[in-house]
Amino acid sequence: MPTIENLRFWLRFSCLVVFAGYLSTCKKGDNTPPPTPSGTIIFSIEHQVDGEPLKENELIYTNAAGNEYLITEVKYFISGITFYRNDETTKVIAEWKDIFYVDEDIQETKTIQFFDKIPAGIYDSINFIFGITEEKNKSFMYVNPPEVNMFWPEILGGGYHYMMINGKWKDTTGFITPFDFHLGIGQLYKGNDYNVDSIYAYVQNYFNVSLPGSSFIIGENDTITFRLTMNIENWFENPHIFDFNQWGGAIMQNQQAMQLVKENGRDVFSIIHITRN
Amino acid sequence: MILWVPCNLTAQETITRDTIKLKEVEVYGKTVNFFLINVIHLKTFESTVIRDIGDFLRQEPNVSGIRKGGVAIDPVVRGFKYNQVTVLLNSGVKIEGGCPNRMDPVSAHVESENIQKIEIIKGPYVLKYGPVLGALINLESELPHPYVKPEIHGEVLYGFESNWNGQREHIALSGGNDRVFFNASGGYKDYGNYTAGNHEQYNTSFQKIYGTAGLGFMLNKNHKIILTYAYDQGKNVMYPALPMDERLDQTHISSFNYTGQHLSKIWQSVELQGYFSPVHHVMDNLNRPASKTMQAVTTVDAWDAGGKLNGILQSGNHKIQLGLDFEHIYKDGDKKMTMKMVMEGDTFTSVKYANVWLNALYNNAGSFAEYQLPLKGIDITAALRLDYNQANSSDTFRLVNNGISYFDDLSSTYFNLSFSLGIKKQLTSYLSLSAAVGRGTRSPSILERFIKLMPVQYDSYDYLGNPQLKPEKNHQADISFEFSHPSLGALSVGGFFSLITDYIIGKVIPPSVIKPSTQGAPGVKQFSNTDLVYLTGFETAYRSPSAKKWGLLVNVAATYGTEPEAVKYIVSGGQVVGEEAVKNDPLPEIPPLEGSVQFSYKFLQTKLVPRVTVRLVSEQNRVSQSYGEQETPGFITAAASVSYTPCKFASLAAGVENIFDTPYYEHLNRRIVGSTERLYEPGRVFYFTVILKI
Repeated sequence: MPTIENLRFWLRFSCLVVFAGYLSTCKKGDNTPPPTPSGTIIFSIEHQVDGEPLKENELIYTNAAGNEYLITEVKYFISGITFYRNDETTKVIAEWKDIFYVDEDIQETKTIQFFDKIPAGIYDSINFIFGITEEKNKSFMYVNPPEVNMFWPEILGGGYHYMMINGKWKDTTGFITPFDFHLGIGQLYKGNDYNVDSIYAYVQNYFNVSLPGSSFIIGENDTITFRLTMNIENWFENPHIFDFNQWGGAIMQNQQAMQLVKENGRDVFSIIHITRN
Repeated sequence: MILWVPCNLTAQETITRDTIKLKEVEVYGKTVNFFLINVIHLKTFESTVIRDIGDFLRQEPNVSGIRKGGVAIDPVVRGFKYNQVTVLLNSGVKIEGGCPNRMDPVSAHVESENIQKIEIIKGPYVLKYGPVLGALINLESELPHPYVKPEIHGEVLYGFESNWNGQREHIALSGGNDRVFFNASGGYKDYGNYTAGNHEQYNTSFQKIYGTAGLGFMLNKNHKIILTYAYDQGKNVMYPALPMDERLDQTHISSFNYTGQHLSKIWQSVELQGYFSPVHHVMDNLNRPASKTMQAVTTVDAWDAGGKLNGILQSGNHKIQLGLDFEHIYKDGDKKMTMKMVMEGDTFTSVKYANVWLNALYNNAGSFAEYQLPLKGIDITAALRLDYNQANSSDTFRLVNNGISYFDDLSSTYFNLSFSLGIKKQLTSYLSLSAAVGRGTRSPSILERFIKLMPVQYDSYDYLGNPQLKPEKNHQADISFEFSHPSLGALSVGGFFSLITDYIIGKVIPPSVIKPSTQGAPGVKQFSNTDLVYLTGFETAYRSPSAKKWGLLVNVAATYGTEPEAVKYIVSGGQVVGEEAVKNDPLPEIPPLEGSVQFSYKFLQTKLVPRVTVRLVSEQNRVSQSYGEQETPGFITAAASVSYTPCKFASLAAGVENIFDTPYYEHLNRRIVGSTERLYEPGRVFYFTVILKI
């Protein structure tokens, strides 16, 4: 019968339904294992020429070939950052981000705090890829500046520039001529010209960099900052002397020149300081 | 003077008529509705300025809207938004918007000039229209109806708004006899950019063209068939708070309706409805600075088709409504990205095509039963609904990384249960109590399951669908008291509590797994189920007796939403460097406490009615940390209008919105793309609308 008792019943029933729904969503016991002791790694990157911080837009540098030059921009990607532990295990930075863009003109890109926690232990060395591997270097994967500005035309191999060092050099006639010292996917052309229709193969020019003197020990909750420097003059020497007067200002369609730059690049990075907190 | 002429002419014609279609009838009496329902009638539309249904609905208590441009404001009811709010046309026709960014929510495909009535039903209690999670908005359009003798009627409307030089033109015809009857209408809207109270002009222009046609037949006294068709087109609709603008949106809505009444002693009625509503949507970023770097054009086709079969049986006091319904959605679309680079004197063009959806399909078959029983002063209504939901896609895209399957198994099937139980008790002659509990279950939408890398939510992240999302379940309770007195007016006070399990939110996917494809997107989020969230709130309304010359309408409403366990990402130097748990994080996009007061007075036997409305909106400090939501300051706005109806053949409405040119924005207004600045509401707008009818 529809009495006040009925009303009470329905109200109680309503409360029960809501409560039952709530209970059904309650969490079970937390069985996650305790976290492994770990620390944090930071890369603080500087760009130097001849041991001094880079000064952009000043014609004050001379490379091993005797070219007087200035730098207007330095920007590049590093990826596949790997820490080699003395127990033969490795820690590859990839949990959050795996490709890092560095730009002399954008301060925050020069300090990289890795999301990945580095397990406590003794590490022998640090390696990384200069550029982006073929597997990951895909066109349109970046749509936002500044990374999007590193786009490498699809017809030239696609993906993104590994590096852009832009500047000017004084050529043999004394003119200040711009250069685009760019590294990316190379092309092989039939014949002697650089007509894109004659491309028959592409060459991946990314390479591995092993940082000298990069062994370290990290303990639980340690924060270690590596001050890295790119020694820009090394791009133009060792093992090959790079002469702008020989190769010209644009090399992105010249695989022979890019091969030379790639081989010069293995020793451009060094560690100048390690800070532990 | 202009208005007097048609009044006098047409008034003579009415003398010869023996049937008059009444414009409005107010019926007093108690209802058995145990849930909160707001009904807005045609007369309200005619006395105000409506450029968009979503915009207009924001006047209702606890109804807000997400503004991304000048038009197509997406309704939010009690904090429920997007597909959590079911929007229907004519009690059954559904429309699937083409735009992943919801440039074209359902209400944007229907023009207010064709609407007769809007019902807003709060809560998951009415289950006969399909799955409902948080609220239902039913848009009733003008349908053809029979006449005792052959008649033909016409209506023209012209409306103008200052500030953005908005123009509305509408023409309608209707007529027929007792066997065959019809209606048709068409219209055009052209609005420029509006200037806000901060004296900034926003790129919010839009153009719309629409037309409708309806044809009805009385097969005999109790059997009626109505066929309808509507076309709605949006063109060059600008959205400063989205990465793209709508270049073209074309909607075709066709429906078939059969109604049979008094079929037998028990069978009161049978209703059969079928519909088909394809949408073609094109949007691009060609008017944006970002297009200099990369041009993007997205084209989407979305089809929604379905129907329902309902029957009402009554025996004594027992009334049962039974029904079956079905909805099928198909969605397919792609994004073309073009990048031009000038390098070393040569121009290189690179083009990429990516599908946004690829033959994505969604099917929902449901059955429901609703039982009503009045028992000694207590009206009881119980409803049960079962849904079978299935979806899949032809996507070739897969995302599996380090053993985690983000986007892999594309097929999912759910069996959903929804139910509600409500009572209404007349406590005294003037005071009634309503209480309801219910569970509404909503299967994930085709967007939440299969979208690929489009910024579709509050934040600017690109979103990735999750084919294995679980349905959301809303467990809600409502209670309200209503005091209604012929000489004192009507006062209602109500509150609700809603516990939503498997609530669908976005969770960030590391950029090492997937990167955004939309300019401005800081990363990618994937739709995921969180354990639970809850919403609670209240609505209070007072309406003075309509018999009085003076009128007073007061509304106060608020909603509070909380996610007990949220995750906030820590960003340093533009990079995510960690994450932390946030306890009891407010849900994003929940409007603040607000109230409105409207005062009116009826002159000349209600022919002339001036109104003044003041709206007070509190600041919103309860903002989501996990979504990086910004706080919103409070504001007060005022509007004044006058409606003049010299006779039933003509009416004029004029007024001013935002009288004091207040610079303000609603909490739900999105940010301007590429900045942290919010999209302001229009500044002062003068308007008038003239309607002539014969």
